[in-house]
Amino acid sequence: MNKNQQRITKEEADKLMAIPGNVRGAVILANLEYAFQRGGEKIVEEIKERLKELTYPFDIEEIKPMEKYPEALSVLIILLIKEIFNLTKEEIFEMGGASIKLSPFIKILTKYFVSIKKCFEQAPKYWEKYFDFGKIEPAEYNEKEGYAILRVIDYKFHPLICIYHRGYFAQIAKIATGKKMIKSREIKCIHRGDPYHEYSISWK
Amino acid sequence: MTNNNLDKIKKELQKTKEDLNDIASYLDDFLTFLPIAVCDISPAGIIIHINKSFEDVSGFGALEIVGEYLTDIFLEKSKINKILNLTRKKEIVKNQEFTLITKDKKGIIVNAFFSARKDKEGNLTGYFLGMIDISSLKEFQYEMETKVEERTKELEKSGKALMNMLEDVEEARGKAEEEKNKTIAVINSLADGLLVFDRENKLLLINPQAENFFNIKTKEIIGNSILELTKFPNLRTLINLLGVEIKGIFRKELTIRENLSIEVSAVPIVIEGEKLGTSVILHEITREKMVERIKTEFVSLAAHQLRTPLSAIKWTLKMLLDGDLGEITEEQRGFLDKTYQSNERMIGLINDLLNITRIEEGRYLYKPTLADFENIVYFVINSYQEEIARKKIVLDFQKPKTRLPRISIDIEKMRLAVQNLLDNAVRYTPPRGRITILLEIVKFHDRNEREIAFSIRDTGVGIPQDQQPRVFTKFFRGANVMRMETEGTGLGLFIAKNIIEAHGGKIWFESEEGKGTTFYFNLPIREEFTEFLKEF
Repeated sequence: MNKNQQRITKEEADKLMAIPGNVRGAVILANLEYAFQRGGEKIVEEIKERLKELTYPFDIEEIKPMEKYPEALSVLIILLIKEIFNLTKEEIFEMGGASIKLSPFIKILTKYFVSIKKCFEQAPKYWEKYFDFGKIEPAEYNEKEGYAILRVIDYKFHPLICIYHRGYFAQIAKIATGKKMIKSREIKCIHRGDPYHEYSISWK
Repeated sequence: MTNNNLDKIKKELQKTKEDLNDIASYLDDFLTFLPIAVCDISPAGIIIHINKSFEDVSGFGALEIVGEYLTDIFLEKSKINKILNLTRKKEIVKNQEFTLITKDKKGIIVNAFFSARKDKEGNLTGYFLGMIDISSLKEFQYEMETKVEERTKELEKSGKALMNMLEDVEEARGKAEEEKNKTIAVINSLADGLLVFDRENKLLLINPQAENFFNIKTKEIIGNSILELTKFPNLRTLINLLGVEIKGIFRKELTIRENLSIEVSAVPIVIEGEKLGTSVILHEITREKMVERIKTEFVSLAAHQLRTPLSAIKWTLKMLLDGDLGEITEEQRGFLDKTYQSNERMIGLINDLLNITRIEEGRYLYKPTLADFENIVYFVINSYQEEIARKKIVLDFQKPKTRLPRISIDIEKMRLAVQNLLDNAVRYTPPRGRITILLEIVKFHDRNEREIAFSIRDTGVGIPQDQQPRVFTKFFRGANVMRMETEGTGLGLFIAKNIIEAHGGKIWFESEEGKGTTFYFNLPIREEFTEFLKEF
């Protein structure tokens, strides 16, 4: 690990783990698969070790895709992956896209990829399938101009997750549109004082 | 809703989650095991899921390839889009061959199957793509095609070589045909007649001259075996001469009809030691025969005309020598005696000439009777005792202890034959030389026949090697004896040979110049007189 790199402290972990809300195991598994593919088994072991250090030991091999687990745990694992690999913002963006690529539930989600419009419309349902808190709201869709605006409401864990979500939405847009030029920007952020997160996804 | 019902629902939900987890696990295991590379494609043509086999075949991990365009991993990009559109319409498209570009930029030939995925409303939700790596198969196919191509080229080359060979063969055949035509032209224009038989003694060829000799057409007899040829009367005399086995003969005379005589020679055609057939050469000798006949008639006439006065001279001289015409002086006797001897030699010559003409005219009639051959030999020896004694020649006559069987012979002619042989021996053996006459019976077990074998060996001058082939021809006299002895007509051996052969015997000799000569002849022991006569 880079000496200059900041390690997640016990206090940060405690603060994070105190935030309520659950997510399906499939999301956590996708992120762990990302770590595994980048660094192999030893990285997974390192994550387990760090969770133990932070006093949140977790038998991650036992995570089931359909089971619900704390979103805080999922975020903590993302932060640990970032910490271990010393990921840049671009790499966190990429990890967000990779969670789509590696999600075991992508198989059942493909029906939403009929078109970007359908993805946009079905986003709330999709959120509900994965999260038991917060919501996602389609704000604007402009097929002609090639963009859509989504809002993520009541979701506040860590600013890095905003980048992760940008990558996530960008990947979905790419799959749904088949376009090569995809832009995913966060135009409003709850961490910056906005009432919600707002993402603009454009394609051409 | 009661708490009880809520608990029930929670339990059911938990069971369902567990089932779903199990299904997810099963599906994951199944996809991992599935040996066919499978990927899920979004309606926009983006890869959204791959299985383990896909990773193995392409070399790409899910992280690298999911989210990428399907067209990016195939060489035939426009064809991929066309097939996806086709799949959208037909739902399933099978057996499409594509080149998958692997992570390490290799091209793998795959057999691809496409299936469209649709939701309840019939909207396209994506595609399944299944792929089987057939690169090994294609490689094998390519190798096979290459081999077939190479083989085809080889065959083409062989074909060309064959064509060249055929052209060469055709050219050679043309030349051979030309040569054959030339040969046929030569054969057809030969003054001699020619018949060619194959190894089965079937007639292969007869030239126009031979057709004329026998007054027969090629088409009537060609291909017939020699046995079948006996059916043609014109050919019968020839076939009788040749025999069914076509024995080798040399210059045998044959009179086909009046004023047409030929000499027949049958020569085996042998190539590299293998007999391929026999050629029969017919040389016309009608003119030679006529000339010879005229000559013989002249000699006969002249000899007859000479013999009468010579006989008159003989008896006159005899009377003078015997004193019937008065006393003569010793000097006169000497002259008369020499004249008498000269006259005797002249009579001998005339007799030989007459014998020759008779032999040649076929008038040398034999009068066979059963006779003791030993007596004939004794008779001849006795007539030469005086001369043998004069030259102090040692004559050794060896004969079997038991008496020889009597055989059918013409006594007079046989005496003449033996006399001619003994005369030569005495004449050309120097004084104090040796003459050995051997008489015995030889048995031929293979033929179950017996023959009387006669031989006369001298220690005379011998016959020069280069002249030996002409020993039995008319008027032959060895160059060495011509130098030392003026007497002799050169007809004795010719006559002897004719006599022995006319008796069914065989005569031959061995000689070394300066050492001596041995003449042999065998005579068959035949007691059946009528059978014997048929031989003549």
